[in-house]
Amino acid sequence: MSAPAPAGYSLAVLLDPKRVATIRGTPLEHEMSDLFGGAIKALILRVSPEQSQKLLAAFTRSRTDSRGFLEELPVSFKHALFEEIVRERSTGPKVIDKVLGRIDALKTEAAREEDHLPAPEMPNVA
Amino acid sequence: MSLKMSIPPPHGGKLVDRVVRDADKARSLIAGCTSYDIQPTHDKDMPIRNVYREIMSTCYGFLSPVEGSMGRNELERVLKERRLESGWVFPFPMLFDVSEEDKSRLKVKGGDRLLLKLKGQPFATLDINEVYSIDPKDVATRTFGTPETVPGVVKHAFDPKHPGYNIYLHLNPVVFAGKYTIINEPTFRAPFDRFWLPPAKSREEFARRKWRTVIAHQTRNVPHLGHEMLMKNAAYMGDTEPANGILVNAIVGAKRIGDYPDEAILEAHEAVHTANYVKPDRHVVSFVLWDMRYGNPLESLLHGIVRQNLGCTHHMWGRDHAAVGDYYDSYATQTLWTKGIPGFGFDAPPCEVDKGLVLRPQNMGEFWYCPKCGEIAYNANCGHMDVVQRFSGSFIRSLLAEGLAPPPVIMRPEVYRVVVKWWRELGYPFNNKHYLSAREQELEVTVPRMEAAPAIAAGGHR
Repeated sequence: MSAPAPAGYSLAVLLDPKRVATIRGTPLEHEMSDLFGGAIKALILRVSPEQSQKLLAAFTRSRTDSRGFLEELPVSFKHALFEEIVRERSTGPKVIDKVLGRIDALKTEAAREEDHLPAPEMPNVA
Repeated sequence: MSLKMSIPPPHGGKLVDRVVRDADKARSLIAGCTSYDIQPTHDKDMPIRNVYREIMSTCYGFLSPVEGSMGRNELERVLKERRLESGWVFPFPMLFDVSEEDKSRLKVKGGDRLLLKLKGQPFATLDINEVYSIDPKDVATRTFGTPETVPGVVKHAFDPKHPGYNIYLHLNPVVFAGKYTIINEPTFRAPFDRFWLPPAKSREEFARRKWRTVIAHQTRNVPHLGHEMLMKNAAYMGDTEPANGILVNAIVGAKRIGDYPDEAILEAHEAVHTANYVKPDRHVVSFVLWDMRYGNPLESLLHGIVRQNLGCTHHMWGRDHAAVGDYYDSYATQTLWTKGIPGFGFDAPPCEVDKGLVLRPQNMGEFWYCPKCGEIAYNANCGHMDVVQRFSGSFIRSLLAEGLAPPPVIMRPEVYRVVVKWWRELGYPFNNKHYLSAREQELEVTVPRMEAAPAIAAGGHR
């Protein structure tokens, strides 16, 4: 599962309502994908084989799934990636490179994440 | 001939029950025994196995007709043919292994009885009938097979990254063979206590519910909608009508970092019926103690044995059953149950061989979300390959970790609520080092203090 394939992978940046509001009115708005019938909005990035290898090596729990997506990347990485996407107004390869430039700091944050992640509010279920 | 089925006999014909419930008898059994403290096996500080789980599953009959740690001849037969000495089908070596140092210190031999202590209390005995040495690497390699011995099924050689292979690789070099007997029944802590339904009790429960056919659903996951659809649709298989009952039987034991905590897995499956996605009178959730070997087709054989012993008539098998990585072909389990795997000793499916299983396989494909069908569709029906979206456990874990609530088309809100409950309790949504270490200290059980135990010689520990 963790061995990168030569073709590279996809990476989904999930968009909650706050993130959707952030990119509203920018060119990124037109790049939003609907997943599961529109229940989830996401930006889908292509990740080159070299970039994929670096990410899989940096974050040992990350893996690729049967859909060909890079998954289980640290939350801090996903936050940093969304920041770069908004800053660059792009989902091109450059944003992944920008985040890879911060990889050491992100690895430190990811290690902290392994101990604790704040739980969301308890959902109300009828 | 009637088309109607009935609850099958246990594998081997008789449920193993090696639990002494009379305290006086238990005390007399252990009088004067050398004692040995059971400890978990570790790899790089992480627990990967605790033999207490194998002892529990053996003595309560989950693994019938296995009664203890295998002798050398039986080990060889399992590795070569996947059969016990009695001829009954069985996939994995079951061994009580100790170090050379413990062997020297304990000074036990065939004919001796060893008292096994758990959490400092008397727990079980091992009536030793043989002491022999093994090469753990050889056992590990032959257990899982190689591309040469099982061509077309084993895709590449196993290595220590495979958690099941790693369990066998970490065996100690000395094996004490013999039968186990629990002499001091442990008590399960919450929430495990309300899901503890060993084979005899499980069969009683099926009889009480008047179930004639029961389909087993293996799980080591919090259920998403893809799992639920597999479970419900596989249950249309029965005899003259769909299965009367669905048994969700979770594997509880040492797990990998990143899996869901066992507590969440059990309660999340329970939420499927408490929220009436499957009526509670058709759905039971229970567990078996087992440190997963992730052995895909071999693991399915073990699951088949456990679930037949629990009283199930059918078992659903999906793609990549109990798999990790791509060591095995994705459909290896379905191949085993459709035509057999000669490299593992099966020229025919294990339900069509002498002393095999009578439980019937129900091989299933995959459910995915199709926006064109507007539903969660079965892969043999839906042909909209360009738009379908597969359920991915990794994707859902990523979504959860970011604090996003999964939409109901992916996960039932009641199931998500259970995930959040245990996330708040444990500080993390998945297994991390802290959880796995603490869990191995605490285990799933407490062991009652055994009063007025006789003088016991101190022995070794594993």
